[in-house]
Amino acid sequence: MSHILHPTRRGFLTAAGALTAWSFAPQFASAAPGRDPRFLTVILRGGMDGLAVAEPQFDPDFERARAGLALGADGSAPGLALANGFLLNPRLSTIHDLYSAGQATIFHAVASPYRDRSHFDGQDVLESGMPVTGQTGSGWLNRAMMQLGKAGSVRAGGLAIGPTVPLIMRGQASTLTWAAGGVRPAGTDARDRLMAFYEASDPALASIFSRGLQLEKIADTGDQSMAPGEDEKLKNSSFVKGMEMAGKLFSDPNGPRIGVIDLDGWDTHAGEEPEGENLGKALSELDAGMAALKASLGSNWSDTVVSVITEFGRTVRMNGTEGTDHGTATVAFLLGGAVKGGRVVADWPGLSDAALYEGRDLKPTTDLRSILKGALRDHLGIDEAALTKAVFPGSESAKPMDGLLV
Amino acid sequence: MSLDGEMALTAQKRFGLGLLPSGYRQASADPKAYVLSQLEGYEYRDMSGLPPSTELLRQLRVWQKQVKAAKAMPAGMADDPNAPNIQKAKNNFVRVQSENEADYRIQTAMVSDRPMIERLTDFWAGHFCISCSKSETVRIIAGAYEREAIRPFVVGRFRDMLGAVMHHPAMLAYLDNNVSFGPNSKAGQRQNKGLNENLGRELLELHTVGVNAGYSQEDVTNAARIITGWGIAGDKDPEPGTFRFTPQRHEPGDFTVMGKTFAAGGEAQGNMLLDMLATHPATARHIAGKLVRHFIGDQAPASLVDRVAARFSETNGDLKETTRALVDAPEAWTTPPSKVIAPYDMAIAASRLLWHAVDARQLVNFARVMGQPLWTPRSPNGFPDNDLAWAAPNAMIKRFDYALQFSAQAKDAPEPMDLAEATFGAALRPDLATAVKRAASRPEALATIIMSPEIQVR
Repeated sequence: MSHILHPTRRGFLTAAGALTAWSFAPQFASAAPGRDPRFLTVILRGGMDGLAVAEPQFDPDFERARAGLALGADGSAPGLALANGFLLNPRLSTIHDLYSAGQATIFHAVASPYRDRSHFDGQDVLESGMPVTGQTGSGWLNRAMMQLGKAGSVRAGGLAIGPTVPLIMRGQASTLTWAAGGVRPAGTDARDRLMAFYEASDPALASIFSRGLQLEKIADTGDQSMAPGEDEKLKNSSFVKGMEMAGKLFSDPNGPRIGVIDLDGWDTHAGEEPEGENLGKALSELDAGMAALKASLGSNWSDTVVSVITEFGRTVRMNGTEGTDHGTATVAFLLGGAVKGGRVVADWPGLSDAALYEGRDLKPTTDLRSILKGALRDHLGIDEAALTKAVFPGSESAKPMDGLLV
Repeated sequence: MSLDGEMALTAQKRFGLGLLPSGYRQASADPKAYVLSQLEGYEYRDMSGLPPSTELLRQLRVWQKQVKAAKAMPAGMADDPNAPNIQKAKNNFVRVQSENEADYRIQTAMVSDRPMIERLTDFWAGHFCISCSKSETVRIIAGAYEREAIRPFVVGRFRDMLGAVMHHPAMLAYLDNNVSFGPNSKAGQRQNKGLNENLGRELLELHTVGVNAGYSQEDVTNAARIITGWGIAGDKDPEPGTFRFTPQRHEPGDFTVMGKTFAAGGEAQGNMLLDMLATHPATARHIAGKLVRHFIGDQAPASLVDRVAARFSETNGDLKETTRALVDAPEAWTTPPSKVIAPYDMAIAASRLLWHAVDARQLVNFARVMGQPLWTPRSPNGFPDNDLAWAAPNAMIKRFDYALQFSAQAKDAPEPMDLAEATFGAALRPDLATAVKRAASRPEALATIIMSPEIQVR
């Protein structure tokens, strides 16, 4: 009976011991009665064109730079009114509703400290929270979670919606991953049979697989958050499903409270017209995802802040293929029931040739880290010194922004 | 019998691409010799029929120029209505080339009778990783990089592989050395451009001595200075797309790295730096540690790392001998399986086990959905390699979904019980046999075998 001596079980079990600490049970006690804040970051990968998302209609140079891409041009849908003469892209109707309800703030002319134009390096800086590229050891969201552990103020343990943990969430604090997508799911009974096999043969795989089944159950609960008649494609979007799952896990009594999710499709070098499927598709997905998140959070929405960030913006002028190339400053959002919204926050640099960064990009006037530091301080209770020392090292000049939350 | 039975499985899993129905019989006579013999008499010959990287870069440049020309219509003139189509055609060229490279890699693994060579290729491609997400330039030659700079050296010399990597356009572009200027070089002064430390840093941190070797920031900067001028020949060069040392960009002067001073001397200065790094004891330890973790697991004893490192040093970085030391070690056969195989490896293992050729796009897509996009790790550290890196709960559910789908496609796969008996031989455990018999369908029975700990954990 060779299998009795089979070494698999013993060795693998030892290795899998680490797994218990990596479950989504709370790692740190919650010590703030009555408050249970949730914080989700949405990374828009590819460089979102802030000027096409929140259009500075009041700027006399805008029309010149963006003829053909402006909202309402060529009979396309008009922009949705925001404060100070900005217009929101009509694809973002849910976000506009949140804005009108005072639950969305739009920040313009925002940039991370990164000043070149590589997606790869720009995302490194955006996620590592470091002032320079190449520091890929850990991410700012994970380091922020480590601060929570010390303060004991918020339940910790991270959530990464996606197949692996992105840089922003890498580090010492444990993280659970979940991703929609993949091939057609196996039937429940087949999964149960495999589970029975693991229980009989390999406790470590059994423990992992049962946790996976548990997550599937959470994913399958509740109503479809999207209203009937919504676009079928959006319903099947892995981002929208991921946002819905984030809301469910954030609502679970033992679930994580800090998370990240990403959405691709912002690298609009061509075909960026407002009615086009290029930028428009990404915007619709973002908007539907916000609706799904809010619906699945239910009343927990009021304890939630969502930051929406991207690695850089795009050129002010259009290129020859109805699109824009890699640029610098752009738009960021804070959304959620805990946000003091209904505002556009912008120290507007202007779009005249002389006002542009390096003669081509929207000039950054707000450091993205100021927004994030303000939100982390006021929502999660991380003090300013820790934010500057541990979460965003080298960000002394970027003071946390005040008054972002209710 | 029992120990030999286990060893026959270990030989195929730990040092191969997974179990084959015929593998048990082949490996059980002398499992160690079965692995070691794969390292002998191997010489890589590129039978892909795919263009070399210089040719691919040339074709890409032609496409990029066409796109640029279509975009850059003079102000006031109507846009070239064909511009979006040219852009699409170029993207299509890049995509098809990527698919062909993936197909070559997957088919090579599918039919290989030297699976350990394929594992070594994967290991070294990961060690010297690049990423398609960097740019179109890197993406178009990612597969060629593996064919040109990795495969020829997996049982050759470490120094030769390091040299090939450091001279390859894929690495020079990926870690920005092609845009690094000596601040005091002629071109640096004239164009007011400076150092990019990216490749200099990773050369020390990832490729050779490792992050704990005790070097300073000054060592990193000096390494970067020494390799300024190492770049890719431009359009005006007679051989565009090849390695080119540009003296005008090279930082003049003597520089010291980790206590050794390298006298000014153009490209040779950098080659001497590579000589030093390749033979540094910290490099031997770093490489040995990674090899042991990759093939044996996180729990492997430190004595094994010492032995492999010693062999690396004794043989001046002979990778065949270094690999032999790893395979020869008793610990390699007694350390229990602990590593959940990567999604890509699982798809290859399933394909070989059921002897059903997987469609390259299907496999690449599965690996991507699972977080392991081919030649596209998210950072220069490569994909994670610790025992449970790929064992997320949600991921294990998806593995089963994939195993079911793939088993349903494998129309010519053997009867599940026959497959299990041939594959595991005397090492077939009753609980697996029971689970195979209980499965509600043939595909489910095959998927159960694929999902068994014997396949998933090595």
